[in-house]
Amino acid sequence: MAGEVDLFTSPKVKERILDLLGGGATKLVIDLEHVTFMDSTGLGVLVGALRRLTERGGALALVCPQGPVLRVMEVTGLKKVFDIHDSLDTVVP
Amino acid sequence: MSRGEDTLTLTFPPVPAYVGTARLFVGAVARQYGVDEERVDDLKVAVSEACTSAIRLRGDGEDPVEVVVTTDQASLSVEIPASVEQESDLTEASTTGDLVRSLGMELIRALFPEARTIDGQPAPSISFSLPLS
Repeated sequence: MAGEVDLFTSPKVKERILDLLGGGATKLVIDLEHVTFMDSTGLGVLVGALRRLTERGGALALVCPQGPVLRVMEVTGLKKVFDIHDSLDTVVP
Repeated sequence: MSRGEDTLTLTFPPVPAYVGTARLFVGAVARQYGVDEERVDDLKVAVSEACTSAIRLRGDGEDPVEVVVTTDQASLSVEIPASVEQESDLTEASTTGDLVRSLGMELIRALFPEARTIDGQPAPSISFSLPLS
């Protein structure tokens, strides 16, 4: 993903995730390295994805290096909820 | 940049596409006043949350959303009228929608602990500020 995730763009992100889940995906890695902004609407989409994946015994990993997106996760406490990695290279499949 | 008392206002239709415009507006003013980039990012998050709330409160209504930035020698303040949704408890959020609404206010309060709501009709405003060095 790249760009800003807010009230305007988060529905597109949600739709893409639901497409992947509808296609049977159980393990998702979402790369947020190039996301320059995210507010609670984006966080909500990620939490929704995590809930759906957990319900089906799957897993969600996020790639989210230091920056504004990681900061909102820290501030909300969601950093502890998600499986967050510094780079794609460190994501264990 | 002068350090007199200035008030800048952005008024926009209550549609999601303009939330980013509101962030850019407040971010640009803050940078002009020398606010550091990390706090500019914090302001953008708070503005985004407040505008999101304001747009949701309007539903299908067309009342514009107003973002008012006031600066003086000591501080930069942002006020967004009719932008505070009824609060719900984060720990009791049963749906992702509830969670998002709770997170919005949590974020504003975490980034700007002095953020305050101001009574008004049809709904309260939220105001937050930061000092200018």
